[in-house]
Amino acid sequence: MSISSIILPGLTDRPTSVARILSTLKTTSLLINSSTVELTLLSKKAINYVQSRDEYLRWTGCHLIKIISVNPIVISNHGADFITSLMKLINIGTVSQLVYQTATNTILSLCLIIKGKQSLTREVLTPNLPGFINTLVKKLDLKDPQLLTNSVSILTILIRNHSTIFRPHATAYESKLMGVMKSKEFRSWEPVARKQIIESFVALSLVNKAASLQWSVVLKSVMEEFQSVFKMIFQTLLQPNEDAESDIINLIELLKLSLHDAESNMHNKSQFSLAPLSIDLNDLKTTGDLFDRIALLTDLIIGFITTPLNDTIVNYPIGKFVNIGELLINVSAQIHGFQKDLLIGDINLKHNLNFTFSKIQLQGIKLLNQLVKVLGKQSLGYFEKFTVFTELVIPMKTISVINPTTNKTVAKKILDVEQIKFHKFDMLVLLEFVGNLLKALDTGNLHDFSFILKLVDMTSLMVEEASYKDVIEKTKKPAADGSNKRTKKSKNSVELSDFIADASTLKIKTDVKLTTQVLQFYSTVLKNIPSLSVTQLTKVQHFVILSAMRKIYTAGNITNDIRQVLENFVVYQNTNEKYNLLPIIMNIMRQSGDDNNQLLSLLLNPRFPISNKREIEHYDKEQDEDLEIDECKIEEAKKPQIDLEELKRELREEVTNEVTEKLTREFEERESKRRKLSERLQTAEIETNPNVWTQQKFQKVEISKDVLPNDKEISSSEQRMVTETVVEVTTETKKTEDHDDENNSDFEIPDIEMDSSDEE
Amino acid sequence: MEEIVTYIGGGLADDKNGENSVGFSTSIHSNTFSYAYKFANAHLNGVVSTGFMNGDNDKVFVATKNKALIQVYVHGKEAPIQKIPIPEQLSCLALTHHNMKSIDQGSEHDDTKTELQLPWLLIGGSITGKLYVWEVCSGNLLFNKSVHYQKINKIEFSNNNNFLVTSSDDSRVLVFRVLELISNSPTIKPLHAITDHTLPVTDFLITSGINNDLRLVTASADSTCRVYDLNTSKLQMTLVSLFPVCSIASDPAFRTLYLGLDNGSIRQVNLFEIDSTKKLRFIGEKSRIVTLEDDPELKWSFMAHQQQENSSNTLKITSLDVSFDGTLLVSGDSDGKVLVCDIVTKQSLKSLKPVNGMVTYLKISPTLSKNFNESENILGTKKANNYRKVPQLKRTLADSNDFNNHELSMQIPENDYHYNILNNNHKMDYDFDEYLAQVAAQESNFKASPMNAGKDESPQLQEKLDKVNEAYSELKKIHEELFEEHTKLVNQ
Repeated sequence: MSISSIILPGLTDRPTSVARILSTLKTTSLLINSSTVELTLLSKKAINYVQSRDEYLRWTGCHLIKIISVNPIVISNHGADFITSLMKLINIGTVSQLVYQTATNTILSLCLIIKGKQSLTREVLTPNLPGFINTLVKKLDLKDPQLLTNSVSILTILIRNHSTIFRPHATAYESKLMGVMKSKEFRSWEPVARKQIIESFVALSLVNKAASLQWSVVLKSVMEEFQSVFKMIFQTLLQPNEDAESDIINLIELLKLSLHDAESNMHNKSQFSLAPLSIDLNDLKTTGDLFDRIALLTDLIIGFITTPLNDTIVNYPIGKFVNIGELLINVSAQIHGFQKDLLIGDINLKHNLNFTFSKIQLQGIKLLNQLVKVLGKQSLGYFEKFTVFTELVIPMKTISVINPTTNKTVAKKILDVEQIKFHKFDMLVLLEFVGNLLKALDTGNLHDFSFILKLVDMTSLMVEEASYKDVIEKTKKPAADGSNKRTKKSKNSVELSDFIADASTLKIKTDVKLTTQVLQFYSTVLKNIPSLSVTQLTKVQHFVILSAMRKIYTAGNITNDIRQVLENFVVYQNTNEKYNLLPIIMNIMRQSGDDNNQLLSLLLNPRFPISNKREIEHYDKEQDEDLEIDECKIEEAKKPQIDLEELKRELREEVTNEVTEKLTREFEERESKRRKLSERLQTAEIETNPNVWTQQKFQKVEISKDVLPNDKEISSSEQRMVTETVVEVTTETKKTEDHDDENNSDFEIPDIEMDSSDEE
Repeated sequence: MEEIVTYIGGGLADDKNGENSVGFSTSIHSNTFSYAYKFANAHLNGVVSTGFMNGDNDKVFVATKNKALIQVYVHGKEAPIQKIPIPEQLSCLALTHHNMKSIDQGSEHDDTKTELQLPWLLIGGSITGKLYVWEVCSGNLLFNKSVHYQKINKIEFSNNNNFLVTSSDDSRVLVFRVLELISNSPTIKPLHAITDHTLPVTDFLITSGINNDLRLVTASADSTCRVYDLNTSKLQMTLVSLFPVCSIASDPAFRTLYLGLDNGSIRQVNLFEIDSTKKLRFIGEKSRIVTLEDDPELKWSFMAHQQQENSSNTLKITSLDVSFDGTLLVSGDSDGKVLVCDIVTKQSLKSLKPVNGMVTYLKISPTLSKNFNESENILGTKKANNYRKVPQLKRTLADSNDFNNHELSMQIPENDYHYNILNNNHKMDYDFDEYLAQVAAQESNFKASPMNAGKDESPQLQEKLDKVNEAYSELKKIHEELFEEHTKLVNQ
């Protein structure tokens, strides 16, 4: 099988199935095993397609090049031709958007493949890349967001991989990006597209030789923009009280990033600036501009927080980022109150500003959330601040209640149910932030978690099922005189009684995204707060079990999020849990078809860690022997009971005494014989040589306890013990003068046989 | 995969400048000698290593003995790359990382950078009992307080970085909440103070697992080892040894404890035993005090250090660690010898190059590199010569002003999102099916578009075109004939 037999026949004047051809090339070994001639044929075919006037063939050619250029022979032999033909293609004015996009993507693929290959880079990439970048920058079109984001993502990759080649085009590209970000349409783009553009703008710092300095300089200019917006808000819209005012002013002043001299010089060259913000309070539409400006600046700061800059080490001003978050969260009329000369009786403006401010507050949470995500535990130094911020964002209202003990009216803060339900989707970012904070914190590290309790209460309100029936009843205004008179039926309105009669048709379904996020939050809370109070725990349990049962009822199974929370109920058991949920959870698992849940099975059938295999085998053998012994013991047990230990001890004492007596007896016998012998020898020697005499001294070594065998040995074999018990007897011989060498040796006790023979 | 043991000695008494003190990192499986660290001597546990998994970013921090100095080494360079002055002489060190994967729920790509290249916190315990907590990326001193009455012997973080445990010569063990230590609060008290030991606590270990299952095992010169629930500090079991316990290590699955004893032997203690029903049973289940009996048959003892030539009379096992698979035990003694023993046979397999003075630090780290002495790191990139330096560690406690101007010197980490964005055009490499589906959709769009449809499916248009062509050729023919006639006339 070869390219000429499988692929080339399909590449006709108008190939019918490009996807199939590409799949065959990629998933089989055709590209690896083919000859150079075949690869050349295929490459030429691809180039011909690209050079064709037919858009379909051009598109086919681009994809073919993308796939076959993975082969090193193809890229080294035809890489230059590929790039040249593709460059020609993207420079044709009439080329369609799809072909342009495919061709640019293919060029980028070639660039990434060639990167690191020195000669190819020199011959192919260096001459063509500037032209490619130039074309991409020139063709950035604000009117077509899709094309724009595709080009921006390619340019971002080129900035990261070929920053030196990109340098001459940086200014043009930066001004284009600034233009895009300043445009009014930008806010209406998809978040992903906006993120790509902002990240590309941040990554542009890499083009500079001193990337870290450039990064700080651009960040400083963005912070200055933030400073001016905050000044405007706290001078014209909000009126902090005397204590808070100095703190706020201080916080705004702190946003100024102190730069070193070199950075200051650069700062004069490169600046990010936006047009002055003008808000006309008589025109409610302009309050939206305030939010748009803050959202853009927040996105830019998030870009600086999250965009990686290859290996560049930056001075990451975490303190300033937290300050921005703090200021954003402080943009609230409930915390600081409106300016006195503002909103004189204009309820619409008040509502409008309150709505905008609550959105701005959540921008602060969004920023801090990204900070926690990037820094993880490193951000925990600000944990106390973060908890305060969270409490500030949770919608609360003050009500007056009568204290039963003092009978005085006192102010009490409770959750603002209306606001929570109104902003429930915006509040999800708060849940995500707290969830990430708890994850960074990890289990059991928290002892003051009152803000978590409020959040649990808030989430239970967010996921509370609502019905249009309540809304209708709520909006029904009672008659002015309080009587329940029937109003005249309007001919144009539809009677709602049918709907009210069948309440199920009026239910407002809880959004899936909302439920999922809340479940994930509960899962994190259960894992990290082992002593959640009973009220909140019950709320969580209630919601999770109901969600699980509904899911089983509708879909027959449960989602992974529900499963995770259920598992966390069991694994991270709460100290305040009154009733164990295990039976309910097991039933839910069974009904959802997950009754063989590994985690729960291990929990219900606990087992200890498996020992080393060799040890188990060793134990098994020992165990078998032990079992045999055990069987013997059982038989013995039927006989009259004897205390084995007592028996052993007696036996040992008996044996020891016997041995000692025996040995002592033997020793005494030997000594008496020795005396006799020495007397005989002495008399004989005196007779022959009266000057020579020998003195022998015998020393007895007592039987030490160490020499005695242990209990087991005694009980197993008495004979063995006796043979092991040795009496060491050493002799010291003192000699007088004129003794020969033989007399140097220690005297050995003559054998008993010898003695007997002597006697004989 | 390779396993590397890093070990450093305490230096000789007369070598105050550490000129003859060399630490080593070497493989426990092969014989390749690898890295050396010159002028490295420290008190017991006065060294921390970030391991061998992060390429150029891995470092070894040594709290130099007899000097108020931390020396920073990188693998491959013998001399320290940095000498950081500190307020006083430290006896032990500990490091912790960010564990950012807990937030990202793990990366789906192997080559994404989720760490900040530098550790999070560096903790030092002084010989006077003071505890120092530094944030490594900024050098800020976050905590500085006397917590023990005598020299701190060991500091360690729990696996989830929630707790910090310290042990000291004052025979106490303290457990702190990490969050409190970094909170800049003036009144910080330990979560638990364990005072059961009667003599210095020489070593301890913390088991891994979820927060509720964490256990603390302490070893002391009073010949006992105690097992505590880390969350409640409740004593679960006491092991009574025949000799003072100098060091402790456990099997990675916490099935076995290895006690380095004062007499130069290592005692193996199986925490689970097989009962008559052939089931494993925790030894501390019935009686909370387990007395280790003498082991004359050497069934549970490693005697390799005692059997070494020229071993001193006062031989102690000062450091222990268990290999990745739990089959090898690496031990260092007071003579500076380091041995690799097989756990099953209890025999010494290998003797590593000794260090001067007693072995004060010994740690096994895994690495993916086949030959870690090569010029390439595990990611396949060539080693850079510009090493990432650690910011200077501050001597004064950070205040609110420091927090407002708080800057971290760091590389911004890459996550999955950036990986996908950066490799958008290489989508076919990691999700070829998706790429193919995209191609198929584009292809069908092409076929459905009127421009292309005309060529294949519209015979009427084709007929019309043919007619036009025919008419054109006819007209051309007439024109040529007329032109010829005109030429003839002109010529006449």
